[in-house]
Amino acid sequence: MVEFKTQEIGSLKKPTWLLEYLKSRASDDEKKEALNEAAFLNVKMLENIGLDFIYDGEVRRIEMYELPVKNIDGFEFAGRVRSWDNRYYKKARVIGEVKYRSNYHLEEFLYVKSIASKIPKVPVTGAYTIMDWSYNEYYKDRSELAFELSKVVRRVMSDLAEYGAPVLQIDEPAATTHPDEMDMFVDVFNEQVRGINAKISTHICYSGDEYSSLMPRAAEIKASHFALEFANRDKNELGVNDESRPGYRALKAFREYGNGKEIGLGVLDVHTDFIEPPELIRDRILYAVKILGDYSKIYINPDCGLRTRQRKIAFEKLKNMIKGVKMAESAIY
Amino acid sequence: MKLGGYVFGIFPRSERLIDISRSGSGFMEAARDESKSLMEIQEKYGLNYIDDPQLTWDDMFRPIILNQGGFSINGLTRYFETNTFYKLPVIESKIEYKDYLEPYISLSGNLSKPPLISLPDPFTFFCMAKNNWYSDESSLISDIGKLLANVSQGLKSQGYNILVLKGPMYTKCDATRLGESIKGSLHEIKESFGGKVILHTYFGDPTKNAQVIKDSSVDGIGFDLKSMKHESIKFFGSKDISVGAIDGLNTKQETIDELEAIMKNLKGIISSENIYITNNVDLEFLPQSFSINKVKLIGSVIKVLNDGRI
Repeated sequence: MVEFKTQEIGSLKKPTWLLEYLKSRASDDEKKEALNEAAFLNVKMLENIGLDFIYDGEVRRIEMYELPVKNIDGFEFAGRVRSWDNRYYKKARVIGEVKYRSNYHLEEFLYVKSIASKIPKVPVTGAYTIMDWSYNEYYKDRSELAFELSKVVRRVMSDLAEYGAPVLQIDEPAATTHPDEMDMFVDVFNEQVRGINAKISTHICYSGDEYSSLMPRAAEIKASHFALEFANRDKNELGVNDESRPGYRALKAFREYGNGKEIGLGVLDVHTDFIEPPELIRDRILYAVKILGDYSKIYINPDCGLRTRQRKIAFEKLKNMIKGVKMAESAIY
Repeated sequence: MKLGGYVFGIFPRSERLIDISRSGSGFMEAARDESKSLMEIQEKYGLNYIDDPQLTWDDMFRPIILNQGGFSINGLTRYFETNTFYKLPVIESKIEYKDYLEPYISLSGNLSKPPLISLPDPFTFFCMAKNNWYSDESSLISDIGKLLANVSQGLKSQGYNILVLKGPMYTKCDATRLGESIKGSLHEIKESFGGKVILHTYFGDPTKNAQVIKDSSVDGIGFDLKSMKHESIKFFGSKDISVGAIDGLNTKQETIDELEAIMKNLKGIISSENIYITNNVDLEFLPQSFSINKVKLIGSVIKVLNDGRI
């Protein structure tokens, strides 16, 4: 019997009640309890939907860049910069030596570990991405800054592994942004995972070059799992041929260069409210099986975190993802 | 050699305007007010042209594809090597001009210096859009050129004197294959606009396409000095040159001494009569306070260097 493993990529939209409560005059302890409740709800919701690898929807995190930067010495926030449309992130300047200050993920992980019945997968923003998304006013070049950051991120992950994190997902959306820096990216990535005693996954999304700069280096990257984005570029029609699945072109390169590593197949577009029908998800999976052959190496996930979608939409998408997975499993069986 | 300075492209929104844009009401009016003050700052600091900050533009294509015929919008696409994304223009049918984007321009009242506005260059538009309709690439470039020419004519009638065509794709792709079509489109835009047209290349070195650019009808050429060898500028003839030495991608402020050294070096390379110091890319990649500092810097630099240091 074929069984695909399923996972979320990380973030969910925070519940409205939580945002209101956090703004209220409640005490710090009460707010902490509210965060625990929200984390509990997210974990149980994802588990009940049927995902195998879960986290807490990053409910305690401000944003994937802002949280680490707030907790690493050497940064000062400059202001908000557009990501797209009216979506912004707070971008920081590096104005001094970057140094580890505290483990900004440990508390949330320990809580998730205490309540989860499925496998927790901790998303951690990678050093190269933190470097790329910052203004460098201190180090002589990007490489020097990235390597210094890799030491900080390694310490964060090392502690998480020591406390029992079985899977660490290093988020590196900037990985393919500068194809001519791929050597640096590989070196920095490998430096930040050196000696870490956990399964290392990496999530890379919105690649401008459809992963063409990444794939030939995939074997060198010390991650056993690549969770990638595909649905964003795909058509919504059914079919398992090349014409129907243009978003999944990079799978052929992964077959060539992936060296037997696992792939996290993005089957949900996180930037649209369109609820992908299970049949479409099934066909995306079957196409991947057709290209890659070994279905045991294929995990199923959304393209990215679902935080840009209303929670109801996000959960509907995930429910359909599980239905699509079941249909694909039956089709293969 | 005459030295001037200006900025081009989309400015960042202020923290206040970002909040308004996310609240859902009053955005257009607030953006117009803020645009006015950003234009006043450029005037105050002595820039030669006054850039419309285009604060209502979500990306460099959006108002065009929303308001002209033949387009739909598809998924988020990374904007070159930045952490910013644009929505992919998809050409679904023959491109048709409808209007000159009146709601998206900010020019009002009289300015003491010529107002400037930026549009995508036709080759860059061609490369960055997805074509589901045209079977012939030359026809597509030609129709993009006609569209931009019509838009430009409308903008001229509203009072803009300077048109910047943003052309990052000249640093990335081979334009020579379609050179005649590109030159034809640029010529049509220049004719329709009537005022000064400057093609700003960025994110790399456009030397591989020097011949197409040099032979085109544009009046000036802009370069991203942060991502190319300065010496390459000599391949572009004697059109006006815009030196993108002010980094729109880093908050670190350039010093007057650094800029003076660059200009002295270029003096021996460039044969153009008119040289301008500009940003290398849109300033929207910086928070607004830092972008304003860069505007002030350009004003200071042109004043100091014209006072005898170069």
